Amino acid sequence: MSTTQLSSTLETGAAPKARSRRPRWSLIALLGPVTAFLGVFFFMPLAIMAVFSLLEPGLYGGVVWNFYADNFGRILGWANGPIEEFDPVYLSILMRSLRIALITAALCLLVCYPVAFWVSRLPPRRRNFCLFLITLPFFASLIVRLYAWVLILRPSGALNGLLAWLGISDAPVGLIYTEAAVLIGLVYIMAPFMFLPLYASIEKLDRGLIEASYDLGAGRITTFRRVTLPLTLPGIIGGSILVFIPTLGNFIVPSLLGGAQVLMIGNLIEQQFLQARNWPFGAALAMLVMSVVLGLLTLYVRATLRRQATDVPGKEAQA
Amino acid sequence: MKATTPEAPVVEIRRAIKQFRTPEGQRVPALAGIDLSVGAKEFVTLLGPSGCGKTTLLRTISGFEALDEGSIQIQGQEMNRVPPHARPVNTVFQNYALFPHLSVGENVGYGLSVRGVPKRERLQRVGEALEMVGMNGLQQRSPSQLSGGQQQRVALARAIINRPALLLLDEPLSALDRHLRQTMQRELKSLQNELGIAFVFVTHDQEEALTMSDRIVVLNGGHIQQQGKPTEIYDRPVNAFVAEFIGESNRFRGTLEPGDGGLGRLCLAGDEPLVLRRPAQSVAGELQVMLRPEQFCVHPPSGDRYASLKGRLTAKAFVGRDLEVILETRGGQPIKAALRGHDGQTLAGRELGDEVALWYAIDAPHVIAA
Amino acid sequence: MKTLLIHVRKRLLTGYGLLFFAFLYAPILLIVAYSFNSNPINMMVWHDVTLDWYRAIFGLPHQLGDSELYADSTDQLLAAVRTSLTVALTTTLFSTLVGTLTALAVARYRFRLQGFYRFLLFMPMVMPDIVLGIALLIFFISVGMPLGTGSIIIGHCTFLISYVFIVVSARLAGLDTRLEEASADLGAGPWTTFRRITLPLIAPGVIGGAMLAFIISMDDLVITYFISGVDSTTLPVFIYGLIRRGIKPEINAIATLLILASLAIAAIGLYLRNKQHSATPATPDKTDPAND
Repeated sequence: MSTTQLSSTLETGAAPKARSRRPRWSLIALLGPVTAFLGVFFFMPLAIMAVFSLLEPGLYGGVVWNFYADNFGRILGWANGPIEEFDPVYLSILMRSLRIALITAALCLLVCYPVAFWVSRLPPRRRNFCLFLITLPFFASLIVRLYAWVLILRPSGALNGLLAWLGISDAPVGLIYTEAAVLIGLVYIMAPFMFLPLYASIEKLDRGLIEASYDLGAGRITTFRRVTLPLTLPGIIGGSILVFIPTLGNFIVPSLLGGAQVLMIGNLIEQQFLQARNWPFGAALAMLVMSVVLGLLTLYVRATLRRQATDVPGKEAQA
Repeated sequence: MKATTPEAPVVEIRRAIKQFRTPEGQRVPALAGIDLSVGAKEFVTLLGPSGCGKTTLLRTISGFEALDEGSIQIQGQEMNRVPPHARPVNTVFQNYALFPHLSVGENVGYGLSVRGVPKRERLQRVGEALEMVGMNGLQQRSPSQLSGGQQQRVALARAIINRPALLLLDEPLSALDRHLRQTMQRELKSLQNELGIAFVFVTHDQEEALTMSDRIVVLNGGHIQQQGKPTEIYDRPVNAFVAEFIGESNRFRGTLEPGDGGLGRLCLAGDEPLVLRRPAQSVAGELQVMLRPEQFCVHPPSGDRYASLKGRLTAKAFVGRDLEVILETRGGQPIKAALRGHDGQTLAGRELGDEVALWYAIDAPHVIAA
Repeated sequence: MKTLLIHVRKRLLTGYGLLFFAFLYAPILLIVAYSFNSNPINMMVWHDVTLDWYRAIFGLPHQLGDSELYADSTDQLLAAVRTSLTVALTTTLFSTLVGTLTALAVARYRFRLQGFYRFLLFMPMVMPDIVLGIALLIFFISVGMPLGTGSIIIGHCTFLISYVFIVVSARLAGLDTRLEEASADLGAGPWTTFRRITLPLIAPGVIGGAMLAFIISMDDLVITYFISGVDSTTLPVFIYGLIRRGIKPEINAIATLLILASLAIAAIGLYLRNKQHSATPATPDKTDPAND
C-alpha cells in the first residue's frame, strides 16, 4: 500500500508540495477574516452560554454571578435549591424529544428508501427530473411548508374536509396538536435530508451484486437483508443523523402543530428565554442538546473513519 | 561513459537532491544527486519506470518543485529562487491542461497576453503557432470540442508561442493511441528541428525514447543509471537495470577464462562455456554478459566468428515479422531469441522439446557490470 | 406467472413513488389554490376565483374580508421584506467573500492547522439552530449590542460562511492544479493566474454558494427569531407571528408569492449550474479525425 502511494506521490501527487512555496502572509490574509469572525461570533457565544448554564438565575431575569449547578440538577434530578426543584416534567420532555427525533428518522427512512430505490432505477432523464422535484421543495420557504400542514390538519382543515366529502367521517378528527401532527410535519420537512444520502448510496449499489445473490440461491428477503441493506447502510446512517440532529432541537414544528400538548425541548428552551426569562436554565437545556448532538457526531465520524480504514485495502485489491 | 554535450548548455543541473515525505513520515529520495546538462538544440529524453524521479526532475526545471540541495542553471542563470512564471522554459503537460473556459486561440495566446503583447501581434503569432502544428483556423473552437490529438497540438502551440529556450514535455503522448502516437513522434521531432530549441521529454515508453532522442537519460531510484545516444544505450547498457528496462535481453552470469586468439570463455553453471571476444578492459572474476534476442540466428554465415548455445525448444510464437522462441539450456537458463526469415522458418518446423542450436557473433556479447 | 409478479411489483413501486411526490407537492399546491378562493369565512369551501387577498396584502382596495389585521400590517409586511432582503444581500456578500477566501486557503496551501480549519467550519453547520440562536442572544445582550438588522446579519453569517466554504471547496477539489501550473508556466504571476484561471473556473461554485447562502438567509426562522429586535422582523418571522395569531386568507397570498420567489431563484440556480464549464481539462479521447 505504501509503495503505490509512494509512487503516486512521486509521479503525480507531487503537486501539493509546490503549494508550500506560496508566501505565508497571504495565507494569514486569507484565513484572518474567518478566524476572527467565527472566534468572536461563534465560539465566544457558545462559551458564554456554557458559563451561563452554570450561573444562578436572577429573580427578575438576568443572572447572578454565582456558581450554580442546579440548572442541570433541575433537569436531571438532584436539585435542592430554594427555587429549583427537580421536576420530572423536564426529563420527560427531553425523553419525548429524543423519541420524536428517533421516530422521525425512522419514518423518513421508511418513506424514502423505496422512493430512492425507484428513482435510482429510472432512465437518466426521468431520474434527474425526479431528483430535481425532490430537492425543489427544499428551496421553498420552511414556514410556508409548515403552514400548509396547519391548513390541512386543523379541525376545519383540508383533511377533515376530504374525509367528510368522502363520507368516511362527519365528526372532525382532531389531528392538530397531537404527536402525530408533529411527526407528519417533521417528516415532511426532513424527508429531503434523508433522501439524498440514501439515494447516493443506493445509486452506487452494483446491480450485479444483487443478481449474484439471486444466482447463489438467496431469496428476495435474504438478498435484501444480506446484500442490499449492508451496502446501503452508510446512506441509512448518514441520512438518519442528518434528520435526527435538526429534529432534536426543533421548536417551530411542535409550536405550530403540537401546541401546548406536544412540547419538545426546543419549546422549553424558547420559553426560558422569551417567557420565563430564566436564561441559565435555558442555557443548561441548550448545553444538553448540544452535547447529545456532538456526542452523536463524534461517534458517527469515528465509525466512518474506521470503516474507511478497513475499506482501503479492499479498494487497492480491486484496483 | 560521459555523453558529449554541445558547448553552452541551456540547462545545467548540479548535484540535485530532492526528498519527499510519505504520508507515514518516511523520507524518500526522488532525486539523489543528479548531474545533467542539456545542449542548446538537443532532444533529451528522461526515461525510467514509474517513481524513478523523471517527472520530479522535469518539475524542478520548470520550477514547480524546489530542490533540497544542488543548483539549476538555465542559460547560465541560477534558477533556484526564480518562480515558475519567470523561467524561460515552457511545458507541455500530461493530459495537456488546456484551459476549459478559454477558446483554442485564447489558450494559445495566453502566454503572450499575460506578458502584455498587443492584440494585433498576438493574433498573428497565435496563427503562426497554430500553423506550425497544423491547427490554424480552429481558433474559435473550445478545447472540449477537439479530439485528443488536436488537444495535443494546441498544447504544443501554446507552449512554443513564448519562444522558450527549452521545451519540457511531460509524457505528452501517453494518452494517445499507438497509431497517433507514432505520427506525433515524427511531428514532434520535426517541430524541434524547425524551432531549433532544446526539448526535454519525459516518458516511460522505451520505444518512444529510442525513436526520438538525441540522448537518453535512464533514471531509476533518483539516480541517473546511464545516459547516451539511443544506440549506445541499447547496445551497451552499463548495468542490469538498463539492459532489462530497454529492450529485451538474455543475461548470462559466470566467470571469464582467457581463451585462444583474443577470445574468452564465460563459464556458466551447468552449461558449456559461452565464447566471446575478450573485453578491452581487463575484467576478472564473476561478470554478466548480455545478448539481445535479435542477435541470434540459426544459419550463421560461414567463418569462425560465430559461436553457438544449445538448448531444448520450450516455446515458440509467431509475432508478425519474427518468430519468437524460448530455449532452455541444460543448466536451466532460458534464452529468448527473435528469428527472422529463413531462420524463423527453420525453427517453425521444429517440435517443442527438440534440441536446437542458436548462433551469435562472438563480437555480440556485451559485458555489463556484475 | 413470475414475470406478472415482477410487473405488479414494478407498478406498485411506481405508484408509491408518485404518492411520495403527491405528499411533497399537494400541501404547497393547496396553499396556492386557497390563495385564490374568495370565501372569506371558510377557505375550505370554494366560492370563486379572486385576487383580493393579493390586493389586501399590498393595501390596495378590495371587497373581501376584514382588513382589520392587515390595514396596518401592509407596512409591516413590506418592512419585513425589506429587512429580509437587506439581511440576505449583506449576508450573502460577506459570507461568500469570507467563505471563498477560506476555501482557497484550505485547498491551496499546506499548513499545520488545515484539519482544524475544516473542523472549525464544520461546527456551525451541525450546531442545532436553537443552540446557536440562544448563544447569540446571550452574547449580544452580554456585550450590549442592540438587536436588529446588524445582529441578524452577524447571526446568519456565522453559519452561512460554512455553506459557502463547502460548496466552493468542492469546486476547488475538482479543479485540476495543473491548469494553474500551466498558467504559471506560461508566464503568469500568482495574481494573474488567480484572476484569469482560478477565479473563472471556480466561479460556478462561488455563485452556487452565494445563491445557497441567499436562499437560506431569506428562509432562516429559528436563529432570526431569537436575535431580531422589535423593529427588525424578517419575512419568515413575520409570517410565523401571523400564523400564531390565527389563520387568515391573506397568509395564503403571501405564502404563494414567497413560493414563487424561491422557485424563481432555484430555477436560476439550476440554469446556471447547467451552463457552467467543467473545471477539469477536456478529457482527451483517442480518436483524431484530423488524422484519419
